[in-house]
Amino acid sequence: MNAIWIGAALFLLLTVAAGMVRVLMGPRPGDRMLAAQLFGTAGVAMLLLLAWGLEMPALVDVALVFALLSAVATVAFVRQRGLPREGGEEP
Amino acid sequence: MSVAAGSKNSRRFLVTLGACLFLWWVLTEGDPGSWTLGVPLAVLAALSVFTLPAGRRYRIAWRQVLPFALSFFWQSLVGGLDVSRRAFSPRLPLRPGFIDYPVQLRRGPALTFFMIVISLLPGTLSVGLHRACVHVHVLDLGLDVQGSLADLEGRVARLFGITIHQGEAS
Amino acid sequence: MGPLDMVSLILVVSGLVFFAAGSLGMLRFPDVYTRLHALTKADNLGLGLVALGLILQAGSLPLVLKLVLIWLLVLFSGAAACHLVAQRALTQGEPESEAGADPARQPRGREGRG
Repeated sequence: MNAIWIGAALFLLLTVAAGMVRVLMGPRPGDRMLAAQLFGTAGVAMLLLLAWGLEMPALVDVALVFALLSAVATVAFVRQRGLPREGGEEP
Repeated sequence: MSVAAGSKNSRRFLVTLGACLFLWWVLTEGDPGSWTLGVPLAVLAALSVFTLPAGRRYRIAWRQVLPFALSFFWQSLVGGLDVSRRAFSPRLPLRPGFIDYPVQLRRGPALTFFMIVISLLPGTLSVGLHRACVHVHVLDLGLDVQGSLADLEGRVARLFGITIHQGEAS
Repeated sequence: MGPLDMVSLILVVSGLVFFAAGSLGMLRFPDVYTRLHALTKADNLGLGLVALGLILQAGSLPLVLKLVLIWLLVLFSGAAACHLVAQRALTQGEPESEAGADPARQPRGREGRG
């Protein structure tokens, strides 16, 4: 069973990598921020799968902290000032 | 502080204490050794109700929680299937656009909850609120979004024990 | 592998399919709003299925509740975060896709809180 959970976590890593293409392409800050969302959700799922796959129950707590922090990251982005209005390049 | 306010606060204290102890039990997975730290912390956290001002009052109709949760899970399953079908389809069947939904709920916890749940339902994403309208982005303008939003608003209102006039919205 | 393991496995694998759909939507959907749809719905459902599959393997009630807590946290913070990103995109005037562009509905900057 453990190998299956680890395989599932690796599959999730691949889907996140696919999502990262969108971050590289942009073209706008909002698109890039979607990646943080993707990482938040898929990252939590990966950590949970690894907690079982590696038999490390502490990773469940890491997933919990991850879930809390990804929300903070998005709020920080939305409240941030000084992002360019047009175009996607960071200053 | 009047007697009534005092008893209200002590009730809030007990509820918060219970919730904190329960949360601690979940977080430590019932490890008996952790209670020496957990009980004092829960009491300290619950004492904060005496120093912090009370939030906006609302009550939840507990009988409605289970029906609401079931329909919510079902709808989010439908929502996930719907958006996945569109993502996998080679033709990419999307007709996105914005609509305004005239909302009857007053500003407060019920409206906030309504707007969050909108984003998890099939094909809708709440974007903003201006005056008495929720600005909603929809994936497919061909669907009866107004009808399903009115339905959802009715269920949220029942969950919070609020009466609204059904039918006016659609 | 017992029947419970089989059910777990089916749930986790179907969760993975929804994650894949979410990523595919991220790549294929035409504008930031439609991509948000793909992320909130598909990924939250994916996480829910993965968590449900693991709940069947949990073995203790507090651990089950902890997994449910994690899922609910991600669900509501994800929905709120998507709302904020969409609101910001609208007030910053991020355009809709060509397919969805409707000249009668210009993005409106209003009562921006940020």
